Amino acid sequence: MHNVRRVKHTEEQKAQRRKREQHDIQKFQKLNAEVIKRDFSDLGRVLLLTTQMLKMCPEHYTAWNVRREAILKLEEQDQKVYIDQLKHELEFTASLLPQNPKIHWIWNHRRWTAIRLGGGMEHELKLVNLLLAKDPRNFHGWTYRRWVLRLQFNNNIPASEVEKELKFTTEKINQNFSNYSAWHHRVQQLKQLPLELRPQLSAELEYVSQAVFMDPNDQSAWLYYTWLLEGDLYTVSTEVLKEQLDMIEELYSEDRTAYAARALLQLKSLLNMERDQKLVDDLIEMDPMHKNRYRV
Amino acid sequence: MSSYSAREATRRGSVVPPLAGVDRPVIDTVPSKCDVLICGTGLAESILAAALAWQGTNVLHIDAHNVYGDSNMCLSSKDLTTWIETVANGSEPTGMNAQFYVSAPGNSSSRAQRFLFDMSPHVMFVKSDMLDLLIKSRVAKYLDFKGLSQFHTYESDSFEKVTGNKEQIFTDQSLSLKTKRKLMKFIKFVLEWTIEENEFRALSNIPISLYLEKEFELEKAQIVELVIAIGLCDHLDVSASYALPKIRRYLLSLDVYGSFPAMYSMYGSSGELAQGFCRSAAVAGATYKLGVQLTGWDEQSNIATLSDGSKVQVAEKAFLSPTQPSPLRPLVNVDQFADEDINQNVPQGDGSGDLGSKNKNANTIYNSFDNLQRLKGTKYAANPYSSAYRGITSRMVAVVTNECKEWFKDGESAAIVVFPPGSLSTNNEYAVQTIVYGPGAGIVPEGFSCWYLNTHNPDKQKARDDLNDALSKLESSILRESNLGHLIGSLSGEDIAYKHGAAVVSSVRLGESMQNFVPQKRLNYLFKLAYTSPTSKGRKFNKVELQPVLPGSDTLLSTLFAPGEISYDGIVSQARKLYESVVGSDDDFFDVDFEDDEETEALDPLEPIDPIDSMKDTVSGSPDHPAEEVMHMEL
Repeated sequence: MHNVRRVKHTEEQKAQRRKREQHDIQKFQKLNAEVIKRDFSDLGRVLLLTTQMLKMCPEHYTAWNVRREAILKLEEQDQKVYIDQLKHELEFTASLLPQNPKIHWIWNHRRWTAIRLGGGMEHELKLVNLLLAKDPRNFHGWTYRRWVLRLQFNNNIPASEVEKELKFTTEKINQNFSNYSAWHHRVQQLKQLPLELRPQLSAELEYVSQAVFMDPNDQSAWLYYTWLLEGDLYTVSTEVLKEQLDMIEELYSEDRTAYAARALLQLKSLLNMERDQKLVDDLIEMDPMHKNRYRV
Repeated sequence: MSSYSAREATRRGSVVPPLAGVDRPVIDTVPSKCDVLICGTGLAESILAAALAWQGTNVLHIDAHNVYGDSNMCLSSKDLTTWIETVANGSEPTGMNAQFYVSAPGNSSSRAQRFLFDMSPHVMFVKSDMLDLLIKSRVAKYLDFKGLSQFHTYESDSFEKVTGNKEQIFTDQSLSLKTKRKLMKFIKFVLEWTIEENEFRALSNIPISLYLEKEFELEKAQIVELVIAIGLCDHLDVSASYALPKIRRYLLSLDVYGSFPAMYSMYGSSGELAQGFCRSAAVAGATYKLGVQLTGWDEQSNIATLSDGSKVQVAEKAFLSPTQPSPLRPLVNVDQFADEDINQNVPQGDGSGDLGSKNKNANTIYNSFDNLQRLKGTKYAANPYSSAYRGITSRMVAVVTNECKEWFKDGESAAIVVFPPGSLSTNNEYAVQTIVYGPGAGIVPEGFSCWYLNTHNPDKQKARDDLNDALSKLESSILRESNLGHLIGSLSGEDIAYKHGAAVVSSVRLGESMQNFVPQKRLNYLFKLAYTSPTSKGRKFNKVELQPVLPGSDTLLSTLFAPGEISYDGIVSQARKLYESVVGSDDDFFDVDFEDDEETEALDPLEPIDPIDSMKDTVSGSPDHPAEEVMHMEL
């Protein structure tokens, strides 16, 4: 989760914790020794062992691998048991995700299971919705969402669905526009929409300007703003560029941020205006880490 | 008395200790000795009782009334009638001027029995000393809380939802880009709070409206919203040093437990909390007796005489609440309070943030603002009965035949509506604040809602007129909205379209003027009650001197009037002050180590878990249909 303060512990607390965890450490070592043996003579036992291991440590990718090997061996033995096991895998990963929403291996295992099971993806979208409600900035969730949609529609997502996704990003951006993943998802949806269904450039610019003006230090909004101007998807007329230049100049005069300065440089270059050396110098002063990039 | 009972609480799995007079019979005799005697079970006194009892002091806590709460009482309709008779018949010469209207006299239907009447309704900001104390003392476990996120401002004949957080500012289409920027700048300033101590003190001489206008270039509409709705201040001329922390408490409270800045306890507010602290005190060994008052006090021997004839030897201190009847001294008359307030010039920089003469030339003040560093805040008045510390609060309660769902956020059951100064036909000088409770709040049955209005105008009659006018505005507004409701429907995020230039949708639910509106159906009042009570002002009471009840006495002290605010600000500070007068310092105030730590049971590792069901435990409602959550605060 974002915005959760890390708690600092004293040495004494750490020592206490180590003592408390002694039991867990022994358990882990015992389980680990068993899991890495890769002894598939009793598949039920392997599943039980890896379940215990992964509940304890969901980042243990070897345990996930062993578990998948066991499930594939199950497929060779009995098709029905195999399918039931896959269904159980969905439950298993769903039970781990709320506590560990950012562990790649859980998401990876869920993908693997979902592909093998095939069929309705509504359940998957529901799960992602719930996780994104809890933390709207979890990029694992957003990436999985796009993956589910591609799988569901076999890489050919209908425009109506894309529009729904676009609205979904609006909803999340409205809640908190400082959300890289949501802006990125918006870009991905726009790219998939046919021209006639795409929102007007002016509407998009106006939308993102609200964020840029409200918090000129928020990089996520600036990224979307500069992407729009780049002309990757929209043809940006000279008038629009000039209008934007005026707006950002006004913003920059009130609040000098490196993001605004960079946008100004970009706008001037798109308008084929002369390079503003004063602006470049100011930018280098504000953002010395990237000075070589600005000097070019 | 509230509908809350230990049986109900046990059902939801927590352990609530029983309390004499609520779920246990009142004791016959009181002990003949105690360390501290407290007369009055108001919230501050109840916190004091619990703090002392847990610290090891032997406490006897009594109340002249047959219910807990003193001026924070929460009454059933039956108890209410008794209360009205006492106050309106003048047997308590408090000048409260209670007026009571019932729609059908004599018809006490079974539904009416199910109403609760909260004498001093409160809402709690999530970031507040009261909630911290409730959690620390574990009293929160005895209570049910719900979130409240909707604050409305009444302006030019319509209600506007307050734009108090980033999301609301971002999606509000009636604000210009520039205004949004200024607002965000101000909000950041308040949240980061890098203001220097002496600069802040100097702000006690600057009206908040002027400060926001000059320093942040905010416009009138935003200033009103920030000061009157978000800050819940009485008027725009309160000092900046008073208003800024109040605006800050709202902003800090957002997104702590959810998107709501405030919460309220179900089945009544401060009365429920008072009862909770009394339960806690009882667990720690305090003795309780209701329906008995302090009738005599012997200064030499420290022996108190109670109305049931018993005598109690007090070892350390005795407290008498100023709102408890006792033959030892007359009850304070509201009319005296009010007159003084109008005639006296309030000292500058006092606890209430009042800047005294409000007609000061704004420019003169602003000149002094330029020399902030030179200014010093004037000293606080130390006498709690001086007009700097106390005033009157006029209240009106109405139960109406409409659930008022239009004013609540989906899934919630309460909202705040404020009427800024000058927004009423009476050209009100002071804001009128309203808490609206729907059926989900546990104080009215389905089909009804309860409106609690209050104002702090020191002129009782003007206050009453303001309240009446605000009530009629609320009435016509809810009638208009319930009529239009099905025509407009509710708008969702999908309806927000960003078109170049003018806004497409302005205020989402409540935008149109009420003028020329003729209601098609009438609103019925089940009852309406108006009364005025003496209250404290300010938030910090650490500098006040507690006054003796009898001249020259230093053992029997008077406690303080409950603050008249609708937030709980100031109450913990009062309780600490009282505690300090017994113990000497407030360092170990509720420094309690509770021993019982419940272990959570480990899950069976192979037990199948339904994925979506298990998700629901951790995710609060779906984004489309947020479920109304009752919060049980855990440590």
